[in-house]
Amino acid sequence: MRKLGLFVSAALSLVLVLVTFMAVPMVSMQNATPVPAPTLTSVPLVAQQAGEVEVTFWYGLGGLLGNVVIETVNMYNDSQDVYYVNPVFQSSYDDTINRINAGLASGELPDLAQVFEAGSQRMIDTGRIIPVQTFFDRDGLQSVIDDMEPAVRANYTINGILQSAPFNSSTAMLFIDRAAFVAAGLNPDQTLNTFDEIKEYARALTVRDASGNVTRHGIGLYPEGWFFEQIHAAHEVPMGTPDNGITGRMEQYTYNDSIGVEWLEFMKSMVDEGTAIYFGTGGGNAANAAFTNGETSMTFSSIAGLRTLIAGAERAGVGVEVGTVFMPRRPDTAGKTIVGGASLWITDAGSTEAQEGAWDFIKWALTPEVQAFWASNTGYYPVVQASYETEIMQAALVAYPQFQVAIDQIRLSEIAFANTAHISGTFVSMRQDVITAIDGYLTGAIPTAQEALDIAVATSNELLTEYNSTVSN
Amino acid sequence: MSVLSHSRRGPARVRYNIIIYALLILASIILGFPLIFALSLALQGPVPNPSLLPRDLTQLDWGVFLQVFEQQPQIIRWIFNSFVVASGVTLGVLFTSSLMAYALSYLKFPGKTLLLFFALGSLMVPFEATLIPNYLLVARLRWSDSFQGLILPFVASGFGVFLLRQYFLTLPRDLYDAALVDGCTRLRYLWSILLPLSRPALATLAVYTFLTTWNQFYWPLLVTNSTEWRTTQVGITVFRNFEFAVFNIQMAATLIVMLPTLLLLILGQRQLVSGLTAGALKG
Repeated sequence: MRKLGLFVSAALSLVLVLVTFMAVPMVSMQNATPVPAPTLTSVPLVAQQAGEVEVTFWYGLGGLLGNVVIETVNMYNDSQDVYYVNPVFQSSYDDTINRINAGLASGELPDLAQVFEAGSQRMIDTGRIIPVQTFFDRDGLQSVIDDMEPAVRANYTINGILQSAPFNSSTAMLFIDRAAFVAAGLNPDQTLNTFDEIKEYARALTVRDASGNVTRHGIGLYPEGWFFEQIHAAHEVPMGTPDNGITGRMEQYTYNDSIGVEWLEFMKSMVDEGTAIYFGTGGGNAANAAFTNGETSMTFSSIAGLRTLIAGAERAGVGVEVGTVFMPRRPDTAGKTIVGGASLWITDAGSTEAQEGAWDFIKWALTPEVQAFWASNTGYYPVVQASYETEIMQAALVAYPQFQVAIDQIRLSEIAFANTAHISGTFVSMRQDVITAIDGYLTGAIPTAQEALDIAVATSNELLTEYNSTVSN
Repeated sequence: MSVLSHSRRGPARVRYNIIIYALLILASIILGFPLIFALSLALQGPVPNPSLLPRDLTQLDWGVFLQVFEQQPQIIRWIFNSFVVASGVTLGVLFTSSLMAYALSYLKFPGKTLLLFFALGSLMVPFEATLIPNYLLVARLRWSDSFQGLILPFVASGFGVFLLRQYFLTLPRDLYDAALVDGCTRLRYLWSILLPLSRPALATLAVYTFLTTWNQFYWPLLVTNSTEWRTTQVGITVFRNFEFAVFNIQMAATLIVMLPTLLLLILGQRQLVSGLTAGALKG
């Protein structure tokens, strides 16, 4: 009896679940075929050949982009038979650097590591890295450095020398729905827009039904430290002294400044007007989805996500046409934005041969052809400019004109300390402080933007001072 | 429930059953939702904007599960690793905890209280505090990339000792005295009488230990240097996308690594439940 009851309840729940699946309205069936995302599938590692020197490579870029990392490493291993690069995924950039810190005591360190720009200072502070500049100088390859994308090169030039080899670099953009822009009588080709213009667009793009309820918001927002940094860079305002940490160890954060406040108030005013929808902390995915589904007409995102957004818009099938424009700014401000991403660090952990192997891989990875392969398969910038001459990159730029806007954006102005990098040992927690401030202000928990940023900067500085006191030099 | 339903007849009983089943179905949907949602996301293809449930059931992308294995054939090895490690730790904890709890609850010896306090004291030291010393020890023993490095640091548990000691103390001591009078050795008493009687406590400890070990993340990340020695929780992070969110393969991989534990739970549920309730009734 009891058994029967159990069976019946199980069967009934199953039926109900199935019914729920069926009951969901089947809209836009014609577009349901998934568009392939920017990826290569199956990537089994090639095997090490006898006699090859093993180079341990820790990397933190996972998912579909991680597949391209493996594919690139495979290409290298197939291209020569002196070295074997053995890639080991370390879960995330953050965990990669945490493992390196733990490995300092035990001696378990990789020969080559991919670490995000937020970890640059911590990598230098390990005392176990060999600046790649040393190898470039020794082999007389300054020409390669000179050909690097200036914004990218500057991001990893700390204390006057190139510390690590840039590998994957991207920047933040304002993504727009070109179709909605045209329908609202706006110009989707105007890439340089002011805060006030964006607010105006958001009003024009917001759609309300007969009873006044918003059916489409002008812009989708979420708190993100990276965008906050981009805005500082675009206005050439440093976030910390001295020189954003580029010429010497960062001693103090100063980001509770007028541009920081203006950025927060810019977002808040649109939320208050009802022309923006706020997705909250960690709302990036939701904001992207809403944009591709036509529920908003603008959102901020990384250029590396361009193809995924295009694929998503095609799948949603509501006519969203993905376009990109520069990060908005004050009037008469044409500053470049900053790049984010990761770079390759050589350590002194292994044998001289392993170090040479790591360097050989970097040299190879910086050739125009490899960069073209890498960039066209991921959505990151090619690190060396010669790469744009290759057929693959030319084709990619024709297929994705939105990417050209991103290239233009990092070339908008000359390199300055205030617009190339933020280097500190507590970068990750600083970003978190900024997110907390933005969220506190946008949700109304903290009454003014100034107050929110004052609290954040105090927290950031407390931790920064503590970190600085724990490292020597 | 059976008592209640026998006392009712006709329409009243039908109505009663309808309510019960409605509640059961509701509960199972709530409990099953994370799994259904994961399955739904997995089957919708590589898109940034999946819907709550698939919009078109004829377009489900079942190949995603194959893709997981294509992309990381090592996932089978990771599941195997996790199983060996979680089972090893569970057996080790049951073994060491029952022996020590036995000594602490039945034997008289000098320093007993002190020993109990040591066991309890180990509960107060957070794992994070011992992480680096443990890691350095394991690294110096050259136990990186090995089962002993993953298992041995966890085979003794202050929590296990405390839990079993408390349970052993609830069993009548007369049983112990009678057994000894009848010529039973102390070890035999532990094996043949005490442990069978303590099934509910042992089952609780086993399930708890197995799951916490299965879910370990940071320790396996630290003490494994090669891809084939990863455990599932570390391994599946390779499916997480950066810069943009596409969930399908990640969710498919999550479902795949959940399956073995789910099967274990479903198959072992009867014993677990009967063990727990048997103890509850006998008190």
